[in-house]
Amino acid sequence: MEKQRICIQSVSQDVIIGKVFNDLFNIIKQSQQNNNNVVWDFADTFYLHPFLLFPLAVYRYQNNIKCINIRENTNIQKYLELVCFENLFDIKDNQSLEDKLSEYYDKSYIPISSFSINENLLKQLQTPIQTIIERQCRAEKISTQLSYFIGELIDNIREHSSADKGFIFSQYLQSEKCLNICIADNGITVLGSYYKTNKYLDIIHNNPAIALSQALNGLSTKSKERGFGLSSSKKMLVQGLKGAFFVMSGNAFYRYDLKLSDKEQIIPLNEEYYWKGTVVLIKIPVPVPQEFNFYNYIE
Amino acid sequence: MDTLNIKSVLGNNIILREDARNIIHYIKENNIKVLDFQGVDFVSRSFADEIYSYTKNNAISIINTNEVIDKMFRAVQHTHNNGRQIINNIEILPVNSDEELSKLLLAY
Repeated sequence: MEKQRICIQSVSQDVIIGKVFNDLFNIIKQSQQNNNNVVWDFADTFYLHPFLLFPLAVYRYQNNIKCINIRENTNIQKYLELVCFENLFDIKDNQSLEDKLSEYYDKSYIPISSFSINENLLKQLQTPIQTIIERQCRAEKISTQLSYFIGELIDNIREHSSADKGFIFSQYLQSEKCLNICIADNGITVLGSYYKTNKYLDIIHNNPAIALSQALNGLSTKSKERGFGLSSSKKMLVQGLKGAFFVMSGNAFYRYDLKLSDKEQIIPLNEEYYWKGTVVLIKIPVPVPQEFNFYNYIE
Repeated sequence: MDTLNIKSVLGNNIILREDARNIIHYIKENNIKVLDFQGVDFVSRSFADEIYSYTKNNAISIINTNEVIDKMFRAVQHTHNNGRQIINNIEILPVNSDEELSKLLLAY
């Protein structure tokens, strides 16, 4: 049976962010309608926004999607190769990570990387990656916030996702003066985490959108003193740094971007848009606003 | 030795709650009384919460914290002492069709 061909259209930096997600969801839907028996055709692609590029790479990795016309397309071939779109950068240990990533010091990105969820690897992951990101964007006073965001997101994967794989990517867009950081896992989703711990099911009502909203509000599956990771990160990023925060988990999509709306919004997604695991996409404007005070946001 | 130098075992950028659990295990096994954060640049709120949850009832001193770490411990202490209020500011938008989804996404 011939595989369904899905054309991957270019989504550039300067389009509205909504188009990025609209295209992403359409690709996921078309792929899942065909049980992932599809090929993604890059013949007409010349640029992909990081928030489209990263989820596509992770989806392709998880579902073994075949891509065509990458090598034939000189506009995109080198770029996809450099960011490791088809062959994710495999983070195995700290020593090799520092050595391997050293070639990215003068780039604007780190490659799309996968890593196993084990304690020894996770605790060695942050420093080398963060060092490179800081060096690439050359921003002052960004170190503490980066530690906070990346640290809380990675710890959340470890504590709640039951995933065996994590994924990370970052790209600094000079023209937009912003740093885009993407972190994902292949775990049980936010809803699944509440079910696994048998917590707050009377509030959640088997609804992934409600589950995601509760998690983002800080309702922890562990204890009332916990649950600050996501809730404080989104507040710090959007209200403090004037950035943007997006999450997909199972059948729910969250967006918080003051350029779009002053409200935090969750859009429920039907089964055809299902995302296996959770992906967090954050946009950090550079430089850090003068008036920003980290301590106002750690509660 | 009743002092544990945190940097020597966990480095200068500490993010995992599990690392805190391992430290607590070490404290119990080795009768540690002082946690020395000299040279540590950052600890996550999760790490600070886990450490604070144990040290507050076990006469363990925390020393040589920088401003970030000091305020992270103060923040978790504040939560433990005063509780927290969860405010729901997130609206869930109803979507009944693919067209509605596209319209919602492309509105921005």
